[in-house]
Amino acid sequence: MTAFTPRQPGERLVKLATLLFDEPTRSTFVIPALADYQQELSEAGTNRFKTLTAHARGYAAFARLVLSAPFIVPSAPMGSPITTFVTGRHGGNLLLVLALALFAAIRPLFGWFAVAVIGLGILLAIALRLWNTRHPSARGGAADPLLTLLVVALFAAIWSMFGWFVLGGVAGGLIMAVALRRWNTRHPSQFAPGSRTPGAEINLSSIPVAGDIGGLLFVIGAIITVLLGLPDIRWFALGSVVVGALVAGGLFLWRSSRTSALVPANSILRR
Amino acid sequence: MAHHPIPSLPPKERLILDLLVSQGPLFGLQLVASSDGALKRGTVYVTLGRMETKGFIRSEQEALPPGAIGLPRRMYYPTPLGERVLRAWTQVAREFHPELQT
Repeated sequence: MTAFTPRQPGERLVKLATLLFDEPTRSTFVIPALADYQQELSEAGTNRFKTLTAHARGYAAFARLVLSAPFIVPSAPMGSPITTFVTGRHGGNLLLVLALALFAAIRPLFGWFAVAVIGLGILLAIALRLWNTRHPSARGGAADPLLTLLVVALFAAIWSMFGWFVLGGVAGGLIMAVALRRWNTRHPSQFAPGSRTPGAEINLSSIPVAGDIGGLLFVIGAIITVLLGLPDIRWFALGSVVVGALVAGGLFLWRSSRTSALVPANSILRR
Repeated sequence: MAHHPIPSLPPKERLILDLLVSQGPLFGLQLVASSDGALKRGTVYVTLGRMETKGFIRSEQEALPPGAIGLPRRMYYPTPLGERVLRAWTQVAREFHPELQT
């Protein structure tokens, strides 16, 4: 015969909170709210109406907490099991979602070429990873032949579609690279380079596109290049710029209203 | 020149500090009950957590008696900084609204 342990009121909510929030958020916000719920239930005693009211108020409070906490406490859902499950390690799953969305968007334009590029990209990523694993001390230059191969393969693949635009793109890119290099030589970075060895992973968030003239040139050049190659997406690009500017403005205002102590230690702003 | 930010005190945080200073340490549910509807159960702990981060209040988990079941509640206390901020805010408010003198 199975012995059943009486379940405490709010036990399910505690389990749900364990999935949704990290430990500090649970102990600071969620557990006290659920303790209030249990307290109200115990005070209700056998009065059915009061018990029902306590249940309704407890669940409503929990729902409001779940909905509002991520906005008021940005770190609240971080580190929770469900967030880790959805975003993956270091947000890797989000990158996968982004890649799938990008693939879905360009599939009608590029057809099987997109599939081939993705396949080649995956193979190249595996090759690069294997190379870096076998040559852990190799710095950036060691993988240059593979990167050059990637660039050449890419240009060869898109030559038939873009024709002379490819050469224009290469020439424009070279000129921009020279201009950026000269700019950086004349205006060296004010930040001392880190002493740590760069990681082998390809991490877009660590590409230093600073908010200076070099970064601006890079962004403008990238936008012009893409728009010249894909004029059909000009309205989409314009919308993206507007939405991006609004989001950036909102983030700037939001950050400005908070002290720098709230910026996490591993923020991109501090790299 | 060094930047010394002045602590801000939004209305809900002022109300909580006011209740804690005037009535003594309280649980979250007691704060909600004493606020005449100004504080909501779903958000009071977020406000309390923010105030704790600012150093206006501190909290302690209640000690459950042996054998007791259920989750422990959290008791909230005003800190000296919180009391000072409330005093300063009250002074400023009286400066602009003399009717608050009474």
